[in-house]
Amino acid sequence: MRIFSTFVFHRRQQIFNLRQFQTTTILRNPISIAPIQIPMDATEQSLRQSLSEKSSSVEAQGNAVRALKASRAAKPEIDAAIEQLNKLKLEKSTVEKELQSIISSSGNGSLNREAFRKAVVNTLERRLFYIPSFKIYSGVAGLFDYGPPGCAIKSNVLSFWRQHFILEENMLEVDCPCVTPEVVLKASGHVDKFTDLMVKDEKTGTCYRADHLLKDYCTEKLEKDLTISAEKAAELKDVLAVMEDFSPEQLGAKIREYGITAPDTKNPLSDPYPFNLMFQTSIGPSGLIPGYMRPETAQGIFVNFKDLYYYNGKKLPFAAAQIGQAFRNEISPRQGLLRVREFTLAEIEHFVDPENKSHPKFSDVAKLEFLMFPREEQMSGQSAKKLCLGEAVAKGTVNNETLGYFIGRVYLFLTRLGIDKERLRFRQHLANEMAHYAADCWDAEIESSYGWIECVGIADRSAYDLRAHSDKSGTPLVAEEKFAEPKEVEKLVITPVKKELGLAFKGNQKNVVESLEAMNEEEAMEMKATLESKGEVEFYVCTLKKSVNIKKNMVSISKEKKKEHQRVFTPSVIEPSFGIGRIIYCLYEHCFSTRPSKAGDEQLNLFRFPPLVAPIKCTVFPLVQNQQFEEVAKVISKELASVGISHKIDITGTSIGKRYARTDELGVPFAITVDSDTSVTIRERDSKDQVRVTLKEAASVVSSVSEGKMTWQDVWATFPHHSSAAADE
Amino acid sequence: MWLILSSGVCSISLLSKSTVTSPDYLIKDCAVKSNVLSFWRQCGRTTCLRIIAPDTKNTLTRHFCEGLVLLQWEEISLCCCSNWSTFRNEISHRQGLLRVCEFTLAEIEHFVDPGNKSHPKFSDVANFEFLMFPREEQMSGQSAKKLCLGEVVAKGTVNKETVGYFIARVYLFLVRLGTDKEQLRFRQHFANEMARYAADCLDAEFESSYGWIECVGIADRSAFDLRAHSVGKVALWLREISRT
Repeated sequence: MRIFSTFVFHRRQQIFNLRQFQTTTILRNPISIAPIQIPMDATEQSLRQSLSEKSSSVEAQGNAVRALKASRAAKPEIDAAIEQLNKLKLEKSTVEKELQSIISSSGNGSLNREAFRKAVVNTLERRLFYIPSFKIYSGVAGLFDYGPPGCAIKSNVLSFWRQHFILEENMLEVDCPCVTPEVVLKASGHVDKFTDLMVKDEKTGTCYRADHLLKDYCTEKLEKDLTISAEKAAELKDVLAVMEDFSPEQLGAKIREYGITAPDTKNPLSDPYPFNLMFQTSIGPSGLIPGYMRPETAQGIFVNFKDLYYYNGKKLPFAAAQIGQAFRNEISPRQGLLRVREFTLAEIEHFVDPENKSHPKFSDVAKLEFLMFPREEQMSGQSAKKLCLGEAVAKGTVNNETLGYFIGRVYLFLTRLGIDKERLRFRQHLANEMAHYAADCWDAEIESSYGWIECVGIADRSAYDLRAHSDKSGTPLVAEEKFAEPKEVEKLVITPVKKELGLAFKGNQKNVVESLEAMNEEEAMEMKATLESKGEVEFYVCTLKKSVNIKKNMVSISKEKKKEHQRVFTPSVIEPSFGIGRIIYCLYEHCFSTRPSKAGDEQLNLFRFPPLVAPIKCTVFPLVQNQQFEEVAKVISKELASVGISHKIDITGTSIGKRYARTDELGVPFAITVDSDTSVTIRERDSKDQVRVTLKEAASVVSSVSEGKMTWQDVWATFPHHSSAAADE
Repeated sequence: MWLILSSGVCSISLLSKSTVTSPDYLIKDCAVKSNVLSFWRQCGRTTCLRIIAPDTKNTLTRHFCEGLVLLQWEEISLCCCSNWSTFRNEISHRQGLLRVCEFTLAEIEHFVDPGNKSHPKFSDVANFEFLMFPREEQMSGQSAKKLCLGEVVAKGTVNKETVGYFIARVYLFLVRLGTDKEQLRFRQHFANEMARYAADCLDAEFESSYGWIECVGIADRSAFDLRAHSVGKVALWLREISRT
């Protein structure tokens, strides 16, 4: 008999939000900017101040009592002083409890969360939703196998993803290799910048992520050390908010300042240095073609943009999509299924004219209301709030309609899967969190026992990616817009005189020519004016890293009027990027619950998966082991198979209640129980309600309700109800 | 009840030849691939394992032990199947899409009692006739010929009913996809082509402009894999549980 501790998990009101910083799929901004101050909640601040004052008072009064005793004062006087001391201690204790309560209720109650997580993870592993990879060989951190139910859920999630996004928007799905040549990832910036900062235990050589150590230190201090001052607490919260931007030197300085040591050994740590997270390999035996296992699936789409654009009839906007594996050689994976070394991404690259980011279907999602957490509210220390998407776009909180459209579609996707909408928010990235080329970025964050987890990134990446690959590959990744009428435009024309430049600069002529041609209009017109007035000008050539002297006869600059029939531009990209494994893990947590057995002696686990994602839609039970009932069960099984409903037959002799409990623990929504050869009962998992249907109806009813054509309420209203005293253990 | 020291494994590998490092599946090819895999999963009508580890086959074998605890009320024959990318650092790529560094495999490991390799659904497929190329016919320089599966198993040309069952299911799968049945044959491996532990092995070969191409391998691997992983660690054996 298994006894699980009674556990109730519920979401508490957020008083102050601290973002759980995670590595994102977007390259982090390499430009350092000033730290952003996020004010501490006024209540917490005043309580910390008050606690500090109370501590001082208690200490002073304690000293007074000792002084009185030392001077052999009269007993009544000493007693009065002691009474005052006790009163102050009581006041201090009250403030301490209040502060502790606020800290706990601000979402950092880690003890309850850990107990809940343990219950979920134990059930998932025991029922083989997933297991650590290579377990019989002791396993490898950060690699996991999905078992039969986990694999089925993932398959269902991906099927629905294809339906919700690819089919709905006629997206062009591609399937690109995981092994990627270095040149591609050089252009995308991953070779140079896809790093986390790592520190080493100076004695054992064990590696840790530097930012995690600092974050753990700050979080633990804030949660567990009630004696720190209000100023100290504010400082720690500031550090948590801005550490994403710390340079290696800044991070190292903080680690030294706080005296942070290696968690397991307390040994000193090395200075932080960048560690590239990509798995490296070489393609072919020669080693001459370096490659990496791709860190994201997007690059495969970008490099194929030209062919996709032509395939799409040279029309914008259009979207390409890819589902595939991505790889990250995490320094130290933790958080179970949320931070892994190999994971599944589903990414969309929606290519759009940068001058027109409206979306024809935006009105379909404009009325949606859900938790959003704009930049301003984060900066001012407020919480996420329910906002209307249409208004958020109209006010400019969300940068454009296309971005808003995808935010709305992601919301619909996640809630349809079974994610609790009260524990789902869309958080806007702060300016310092966005890559320098991004116009706007929102994350769908789902609350779990690990805190708020970023599961989907929805970014407007402007034209950075296509430009980067255009430049490096030499293939222009551009789109064209034909004008209805030819337009007369004034165009800058820069014509270097190669003969004169060759005479003057010899071997460097090419660099000078390229730099001259690269001038923008303002620079060019300024040079033209200077040449006309002075006959020569100093001109900086960045590829030579020096200024050169340009004479009037070396270049001609003018403006010409031309008729243009089309505009050539680099499209912008709106990129929703889904971490499928994270979504699935959060789904497990959101669908998990317990309820007492009928005897009341234990808590039974169940997963309340919507039928859409449930790994098995139906279990068929002969009530007792009996040839006749087993034959009926097989007939029903064949019918379920013929309508494509995944199901299982359980013909063991275990009690029906125990079998129901077992099937609930897998999240199977419906159970058909064969207790006669003319009719059967159908039980619904969440309500335990049962209805009686004829043999002929059984498969079609389960099929309809599994596929969402009928609701259980419809079934309940249509068929005779059945109650069973023996059922449900 | 008795102890069985090991289980036999009947392994089927469906090689979906895929990209070299540059070409990608685009649009229609991607949709075709998705449809093939979707149909494959439905044909198997077995639960699917999602493998995250780079090597698909070995991971499946390890599920045997854990799976038994969970699935002890299931029939003794149980199947696991998986699909996803596999990688081989080929020395030199030729034959376009047929020999690539990264390709998609769909594999099934059917665990069975080595003392009983009959299959309850073999009668569903026993009457099938298709091009087969047994070892003897290859040795004597003949061609593939149309043979009846039931007879082939009865005569012992194909080692066991379970192997025969999967041969037929593969045949149905490939023909259903649109493969020309006149350009599809099942060729038996020579003794020198088989790993020493294999009891029997047949390939589904397609005729293409590159010649006859092996696309599906159907092997009776006896108990090699589970024994190899058992050494020194978790015992991967099965005790028959009588239902009372």
